Amino acid sequence: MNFAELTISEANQALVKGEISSVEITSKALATIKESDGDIHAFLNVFEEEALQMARDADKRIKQGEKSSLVGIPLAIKDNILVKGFAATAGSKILESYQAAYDATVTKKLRDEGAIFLGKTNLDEFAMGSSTENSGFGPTKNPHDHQRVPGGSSGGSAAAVAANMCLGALGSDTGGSIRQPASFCGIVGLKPTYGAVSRFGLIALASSLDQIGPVTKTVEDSAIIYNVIKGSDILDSTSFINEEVALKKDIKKLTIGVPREYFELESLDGAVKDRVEEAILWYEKQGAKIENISLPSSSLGLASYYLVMPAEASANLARYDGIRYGSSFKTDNLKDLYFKNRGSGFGAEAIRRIMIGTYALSSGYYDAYYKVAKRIQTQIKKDFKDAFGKTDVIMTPTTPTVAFKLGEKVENPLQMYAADIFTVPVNMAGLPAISLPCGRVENLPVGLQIIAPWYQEKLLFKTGLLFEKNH
Amino acid sequence: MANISSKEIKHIAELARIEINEAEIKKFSRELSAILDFVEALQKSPGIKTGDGEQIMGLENIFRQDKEHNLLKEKGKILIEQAPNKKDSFVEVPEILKRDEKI
Repeated sequence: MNFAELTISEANQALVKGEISSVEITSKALATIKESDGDIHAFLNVFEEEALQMARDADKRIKQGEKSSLVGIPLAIKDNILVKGFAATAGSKILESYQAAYDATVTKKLRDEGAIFLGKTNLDEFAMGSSTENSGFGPTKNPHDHQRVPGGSSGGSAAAVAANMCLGALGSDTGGSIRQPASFCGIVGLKPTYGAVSRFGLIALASSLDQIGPVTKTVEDSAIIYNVIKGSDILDSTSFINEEVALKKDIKKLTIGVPREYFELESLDGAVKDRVEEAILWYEKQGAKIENISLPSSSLGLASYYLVMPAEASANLARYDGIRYGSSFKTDNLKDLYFKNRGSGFGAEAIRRIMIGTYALSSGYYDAYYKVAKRIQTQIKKDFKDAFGKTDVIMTPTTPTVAFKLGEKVENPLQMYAADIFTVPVNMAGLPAISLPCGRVENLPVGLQIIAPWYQEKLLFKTGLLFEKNH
Repeated sequence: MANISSKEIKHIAELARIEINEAEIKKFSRELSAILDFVEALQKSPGIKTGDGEQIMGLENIFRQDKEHNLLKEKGKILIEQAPNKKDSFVEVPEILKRDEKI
C-alpha cells in the first residue's frame, strides 16, 4: 500500500483500526517530499523532526482510543497561515526572517484534532497572484507538467496534494486562490462562505474577501477538513456561521443554474467548455434540472475586484515597515527606513497592487474608483441572490483555460488577472464554492466550479460527492 | 486611454512609502495606465448608484467585552523578539522628532 496515495478518509479509517500508524504515513509523505520536491518546489519549509514527533504523539493518542477525523493525518499549510514557532513568510522577502509568534485559529483547531504539520507551502507573495510565479522564493511546478504553473496563489498546497506529498492542505482564497490551483492540478479546493472560517492568524490580503479553505484529493476529504476548521471565533469579528440551513430535496433533483455570461465568454477555451458542459449534462442525466440564468454584473466582477482588493491590500500591507518585524536597514531617518525596507522587500506584483490601491483610495480618486467598485459589489451579490431564487446551485468552469506555461503570463498583469474571471465574483458576493476535477484536455486537468448559496457548504459537498462517487 | 504620468507614479510611491527607481517608474506608469483603462469600464455601467458598500455579509456592530484576553505570555515578549531592533521590552524605532525641533 502506498500510504501517500491514500485519501484522508481512507487513512483515518486505517489508523483508527490500527492497520497503519501515523509514523508510517508521515514518513512516507516526508520521503515523497524528499524525492519530488527538489523539482516541484511545493514546500518553502519542511518540519521533518517536528512532523515525526507529532506523528508519534498521534499514534499514542490513537492507542488510547482517539478517533477524531484528522488524528495522525499529515497536512501541509500555506505559508501565509501562522504555525507557532516556524517561519511564516507569506512568500515574501520582507518576511523572510519572520517567525510566527502564535498559531492561527485554524492551526490550533487542526492541532487539537491531532493532525500532523509537514511544513509550509509556497505561494504568490502575500497571496497576490494566479500562478505562484510571484513568490519571492521561486515558483512551484504543476505535477502534471513541470513546464506549467500549478496555479495560484495556493500553488504550493495544490501541487503538494496532487503529488501525494501530503494527504491534504490548507490554502487561502481571495479571488480564486484555492479553486484555480485546484482546477489546474486536478484536485478539490473549497472556498467557504465569507466568515465561516476564522481569519485570525491568516496574513491578510483583502480583509473583506479572504477565506482559508481545504485543498484535498476528494470532496469527502474537503468536508472532513472544513468541519474541523469552520466556526465563529471571538478573535475574528468578521467570522459568523449560520448552520441552520437544511437540505431540502433529493440531491439528484437539483436545479442547476448555468450562467450564460460565463459560458459565452470569448476567452473560455473550447475544450475546457466541453468538459464542463459534459459534467453538467451528467448531472442532468441523474435527474437534475438545468436552468439557463443570467448574472449581468459578471462582466464587471474582475474590474471591481481589481479595485477593492488592491485598496484593502494597500492598507493591510502598510504594516510591513521593517520596524516590528521584517528586514531593517540602518538609516538615519524614519522615511528612508520605510522606503528602503518596502522598496527592496516587496516584489513587483505586490508593489503594483499597493500602488493601484493607494491610487484608488487617494484624495480625488476615492469616489470615482473605490466607492464605485464597492457599489458594483452589492450588484454582484444581488445578481446571485436573484439567481438562487430559482436555482439550488450554479455551475461554471473554474478557469477559462487549463494550466498555462511558466513565464507565459508573468510579464502581462492584465492577462494574468483574467485567469480569475470565473472565481472572483464568488468572493465579491461572499459565497461558498468548490472546484472539483471533471476531465482533462490533452492530459491537463479541468475544474468544475459549483457555487452554492451562503452557508450551504453541505449542499456543495453533497452535489460534489454525487459526481465524485458515480461519474 | 488612462495615462498615469511619471509624476503621479512618484506621488503614489511616496504615499505608499515604497522606493522605486527610474526604470520602475516607467514600467509602473505603463502597467497602471493599462489596469486603470480596464477598470474605467466600471464608470460606464448602469446601476452604479445602488448599494452603499455595506459589510459583505450584513454584519453590524460586532463588539467584544472590554476585557483582557491574555493571549500571549509575558506581555507579548515573543512579539518584541520579532523586532529587528530592540532593547529590553521596547522595540527600537528611529527618532521621529529631532531634539531641537519646534513642534
